[in-house]
Amino acid sequence: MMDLNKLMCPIKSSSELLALHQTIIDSKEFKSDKIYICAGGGCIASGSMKVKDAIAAQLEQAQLNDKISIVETGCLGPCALGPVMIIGKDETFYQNVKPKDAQEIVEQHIKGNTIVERMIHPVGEKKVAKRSDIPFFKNQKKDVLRNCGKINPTKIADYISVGGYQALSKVLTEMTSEKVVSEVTISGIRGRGGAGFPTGVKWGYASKSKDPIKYILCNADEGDPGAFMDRSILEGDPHSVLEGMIIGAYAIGSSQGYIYVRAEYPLAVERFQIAIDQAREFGLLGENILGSGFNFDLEIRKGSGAFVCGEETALMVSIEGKRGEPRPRPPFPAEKGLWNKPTVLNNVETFSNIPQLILEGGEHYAKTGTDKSKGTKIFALAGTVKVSGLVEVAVGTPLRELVFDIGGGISTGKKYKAAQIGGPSGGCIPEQHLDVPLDYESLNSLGAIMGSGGLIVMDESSCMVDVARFFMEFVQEESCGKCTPCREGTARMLDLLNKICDGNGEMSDLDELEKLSGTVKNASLCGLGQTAPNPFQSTFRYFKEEYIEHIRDKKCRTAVCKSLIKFEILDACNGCQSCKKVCPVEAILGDKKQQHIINTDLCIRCGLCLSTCKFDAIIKY
Amino acid sequence: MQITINSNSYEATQGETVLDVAKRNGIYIPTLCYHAKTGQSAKCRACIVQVEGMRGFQTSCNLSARDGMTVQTESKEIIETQKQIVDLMLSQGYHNCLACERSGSCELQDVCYHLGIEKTTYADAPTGRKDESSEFIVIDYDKCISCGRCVTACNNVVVNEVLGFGHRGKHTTIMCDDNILMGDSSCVQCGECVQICPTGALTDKKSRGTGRGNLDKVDTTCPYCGVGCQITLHVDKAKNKVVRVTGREVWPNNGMLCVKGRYGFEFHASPKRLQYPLIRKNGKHERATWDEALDYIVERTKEIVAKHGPDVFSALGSGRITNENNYAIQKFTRAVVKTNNIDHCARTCHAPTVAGLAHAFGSGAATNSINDILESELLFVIGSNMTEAHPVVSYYVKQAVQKGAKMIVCDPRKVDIAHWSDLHVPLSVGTDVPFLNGLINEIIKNGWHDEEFMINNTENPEELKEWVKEYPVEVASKICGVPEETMRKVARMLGEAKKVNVIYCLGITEHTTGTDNVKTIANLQMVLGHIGKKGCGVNPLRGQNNVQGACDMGALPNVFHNYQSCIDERAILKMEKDWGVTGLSRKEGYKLPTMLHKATSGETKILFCVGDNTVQTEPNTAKTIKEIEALEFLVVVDIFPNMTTEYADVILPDVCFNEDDGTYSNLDRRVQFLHKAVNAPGESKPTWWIMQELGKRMGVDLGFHSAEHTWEDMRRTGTIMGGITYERIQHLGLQWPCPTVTHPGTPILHMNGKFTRGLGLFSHTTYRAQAELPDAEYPFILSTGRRLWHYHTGTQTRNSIGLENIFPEELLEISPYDAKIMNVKSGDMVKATSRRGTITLKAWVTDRSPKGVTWCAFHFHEAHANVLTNDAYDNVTETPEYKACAIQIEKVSDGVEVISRGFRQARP
Repeated sequence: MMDLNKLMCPIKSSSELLALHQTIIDSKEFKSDKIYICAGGGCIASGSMKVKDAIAAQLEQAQLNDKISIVETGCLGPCALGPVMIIGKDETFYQNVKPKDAQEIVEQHIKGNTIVERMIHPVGEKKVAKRSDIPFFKNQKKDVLRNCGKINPTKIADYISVGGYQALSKVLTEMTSEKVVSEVTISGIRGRGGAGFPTGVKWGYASKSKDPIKYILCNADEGDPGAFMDRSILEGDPHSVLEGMIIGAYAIGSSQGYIYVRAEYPLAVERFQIAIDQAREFGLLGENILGSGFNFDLEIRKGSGAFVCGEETALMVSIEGKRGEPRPRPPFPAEKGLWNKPTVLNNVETFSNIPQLILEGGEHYAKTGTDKSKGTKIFALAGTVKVSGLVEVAVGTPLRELVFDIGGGISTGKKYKAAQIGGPSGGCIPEQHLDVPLDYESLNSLGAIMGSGGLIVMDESSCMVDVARFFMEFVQEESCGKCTPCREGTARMLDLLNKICDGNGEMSDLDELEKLSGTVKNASLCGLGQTAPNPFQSTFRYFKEEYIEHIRDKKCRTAVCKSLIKFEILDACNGCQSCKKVCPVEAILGDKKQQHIINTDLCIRCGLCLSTCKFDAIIKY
Repeated sequence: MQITINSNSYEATQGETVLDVAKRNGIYIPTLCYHAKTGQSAKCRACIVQVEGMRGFQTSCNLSARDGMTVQTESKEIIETQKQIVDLMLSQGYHNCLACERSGSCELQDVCYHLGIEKTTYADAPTGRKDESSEFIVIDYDKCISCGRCVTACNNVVVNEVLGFGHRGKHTTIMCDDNILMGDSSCVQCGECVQICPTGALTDKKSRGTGRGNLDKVDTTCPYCGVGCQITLHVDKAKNKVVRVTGREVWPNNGMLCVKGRYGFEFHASPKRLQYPLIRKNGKHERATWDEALDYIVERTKEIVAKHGPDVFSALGSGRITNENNYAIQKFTRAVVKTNNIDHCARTCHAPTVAGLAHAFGSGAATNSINDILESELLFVIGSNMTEAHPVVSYYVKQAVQKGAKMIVCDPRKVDIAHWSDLHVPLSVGTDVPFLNGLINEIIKNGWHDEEFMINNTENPEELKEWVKEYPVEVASKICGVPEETMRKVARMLGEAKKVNVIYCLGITEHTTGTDNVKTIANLQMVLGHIGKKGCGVNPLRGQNNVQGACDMGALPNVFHNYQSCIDERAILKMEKDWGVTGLSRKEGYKLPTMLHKATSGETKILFCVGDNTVQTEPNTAKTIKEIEALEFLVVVDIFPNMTTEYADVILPDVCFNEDDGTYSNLDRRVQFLHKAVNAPGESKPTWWIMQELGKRMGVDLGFHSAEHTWEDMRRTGTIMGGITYERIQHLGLQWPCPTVTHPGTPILHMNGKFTRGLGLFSHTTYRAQAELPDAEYPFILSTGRRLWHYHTGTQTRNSIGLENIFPEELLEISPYDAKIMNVKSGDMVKATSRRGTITLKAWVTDRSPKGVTWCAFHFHEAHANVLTNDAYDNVTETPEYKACAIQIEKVSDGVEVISRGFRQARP
């Protein structure tokens, strides 16, 4: 396909784009059989590139390399099972593939047409080979992630082959900017960054401004612990984001854009830069795009890992080269944003929705989802589920479906306790609300938020006070320190939660926490502070008894809070002295063949004794 | 529009915030981070209110009032939340008011008082973290509430860019540069952060324990440079001492000050002050009574003048004393002695400005106001080291740049302001005329000039076009050492900008071509049509606090006060009539250098010198001393003994800036008031009183019975200042021309291109090299000037506490290139020698100096530049060429190497 790049660029019109598309799909390479190997961040980390090399070597040995091509794709989804791959001809899904398995796959499956049983996915007692039969895939609705796992994200020709840039072509040749805005408005799509502001309305504000300089920004500063939706899109289908941004720029009348990516996402940065370079080369970015007279270009700006820079005003301040601190709104960015110019900021997932939305029309888009929330939403499913990874479902899908049908249920065999949704700004959903539809309003009513898509499933072994403490520590560390309630209030809340987890809590601390929650929520400057008390408030709402146990009974029922754990040696002890030997603080006393005892004053609750005892004579409670 | 606050309706205007409306109507809303100068930041959140129809709480400091808005500021919920916010703020440090400097003037204390907070609910132990490393400012981190005012002030008000926030969460803290001690940082100790801090986190080190509520506050004018900052003296009346200085938030400085203005105040109470009249007897100065001293002066003056005529008498006024005192000296000289031999130190600095601009425009002063800088599109700075010599002007310039103005800095040296410029043009020393003519040539060549303005508003546009043909860029570039493409770029920037403000200083005037330099600048601005408009103009930065005023008062040999020619018969008759004397001199007097030269030929016999340390300030000190020694009779009126008083026959003790009422005129022609704050030491007397007493003894009642009487005496025959009365300027100054008592003053001269002289006049200027070029024997150029930390001959700054600790001795600035060749490091002792003398001082190797150019100042009598400088003069005004002479440098000994800290301003 390298030759195609040389032949056809730059593309000067819509018809040339169509012609190029045709050339690509007529090509031998396009028509050949394929093996899709996941080249998402997760699978690369677990060794998928070595698997790819091994498969390639085997194909060459078998002289099949002309007939079968390997596609290094974006994230296929089930990251925990990586490296994963799909055999194109029969859609067989292989998991945990090692380089040494390559020979077997090529010899047995490619040449012999026999599936390698031991690498296919188990569902209950059975094993399922075909991707579309696997519940993890079967229950998803992959609209935004449509290309993730199908195309090579570093090849623009791959993107064009699946209809890429046709939406842009449509916009530039058939639609006015007002029409684009209205189409987006009709679709009902809401910002996927978390707040859920209607994208069409946002674009509408900015498009009305008469200022000749406007900016369009993409927020790829994904900072929630456990969230990787945006990274996966950027790694897996960067051109869709790029196309969405160009369409957005056309809609609001901007000629310059920036994408703000965390520097901790080197692969996303690399692939997006490749996409930008290719789009420029193909005349899809820069001056006179597709001969339409429309000019637009964009640059990557790397963030340095401050969570608050995901907040839109702080992000803009950071792009301006200053310390990333939010500024008060109003004025809103649509009026005065980056360098005081009208600015539209959307996140990666929102932009990635746009090309398909334009091609199929707003009304079609609006058919998916609920009354007030349209389209699909991507979640980073993590925690104690059997299959964790990247999933996309229609907005409004019940949480239970996500956890049990797609995720396969709880991995530890214990009971579901709660799911933390929306990261540090979000809340937890307890078992009694498992059937909540995942949409903005329903989640809000339960004290959680849709957020950007982080979803951490917890089983009974999670201490909810500790969960609140963890997120409070996170926001306190990530508070930019600009406004008093967030800077000081979260510090005081953290002090109190630490106090409770350390077993020094008093009942009045709970009142104080509630009072502080109100102040921090109502009086903070930006979203970070305004939502910082959410994890406390929601765990307190659903698991109040755990707080009370920590304070009144000095007990952590999950034995997570170290200060509240007690270790005890039971009668079953035969005095083997193993535990005594490993105790780092000499807290275990007792002679050989005598029952040992633990001096709880000295014990640091490291748990070494417990894991050492072969006779189940030590318990923790 | 109307808004409702707590059920009452209030009038509000467009652009007002809810906080503004509440404040105006006496409704208290706690607020800590907002300040008019640092703007809305909505950071502390203490000012939250509830607005009907809006979600949650709103911060009133950034909430625009809208018609029909209903606001609640006092509900229980609001008060509780405000309380908790302030409680949280308190929790962050340790706020103990007992020994706090700010107690009583602390905004946090006020807020707590209002909300009834005794102490924080969440007390942390005090960290004890304090930064006392800098000379004048203490940072007490325990009292910091992270409101951010100081950070904004440092970065966006004075734009010194030192303070910032660092770390995150509860560890967020203010810090200097990259988290180093303030004393080690690039801080220039302007003290804006102290002034704007709402708590005791930033305080003045020197004022600790000197008083809180018991101090008197006296508003007055700063006694340092020509900016004329308005200040408040905090006075301990019982001790008769100023203990603190703050800036007044009015024009021209809007509260901002520099290190000298804010911290160089103790000199007035120095025990070294002159306190009694002294007469030289048997080679020694002995204390005398006023009668003895005055009688003696009169006796000697009468005797010598009777024998040789009045023109052997010369008098010097001063750019550092008040208008009244300058007027008193000139009136005495003219009306009593009957000579026009009166001059002052403008001769050594901006005489070419007065001459050049008067020639071109008809008025020799700055055309626009200081605050006009913020209106400019392009600032063209040439020959001005403003961050040191006029720091407060530099703050406005930097603000303008932040707001989007472009700036070109033309200076052979990489002066600190160049750091903020878009383009620094290091032209060769003394090549301003070909440089500027080259630019004009290029501008006209490209049609960037304002043809209409030239035709309608100037006298000789076609001639100018011919003249500049002598300097095409190719030719000019070779002379001034600026690449052709740079010159073209500068010309384009000048030509395309809609508002260009030319700001210059002594780098233009202190050359043998000083007047030509000024005239060429005037040519440039007339070609561009940038005169008589907002954000434009020709704006010289006058050096001393009242050097503008000394000129305005007629302490010049060619004019009476208000620039009325002293050889114009009508003016002479007017003065004779008003002053009640006859026989005023009909010829112009000697300029300062001529007065001195004529001493050696016997034509000058008496010098009456007020506030001018002539020996240290004139070029070629050895020669000056010979001239001073040749005088028959020298009277010096001053506040401190100095190099010149040593040669005096009579020394009279003067009062200083805060010991009498009076006025100064600043660099934008603003006449501003000085209030008496303390009593003068010993028997010191104002100069007007001395002149009155001398006049009386010589048979003329000059009518000076107070400063105001003296001012009124001037005003009666004044023109451009006729409308300025003491009453009108008690609180705010007025800019002349202000001819009548109802006139509002004139911020911009030559409005709409209507020049004072009618049509603007172009001048033909040609390149003349500096008088003394470097050669094999004296290979370096020495240029001189002023340092941030000191002023004039150091009498004020070296007699105040702390400034000398920051900058204790003079340093010779040498380029890294030359230093390497000579094996000289910063801190080594070097000997600098010119054809006129030698000084020994420490070297400062710095890239502020270009190759071949060295620099030092004249503040320290131990090693001052004027031992070396050349007594070559501007052909029109006799202003010496301080900016260029040739020297040789010899290393004397190794010193302790000074490690320089990156970009540190104004010192190594």
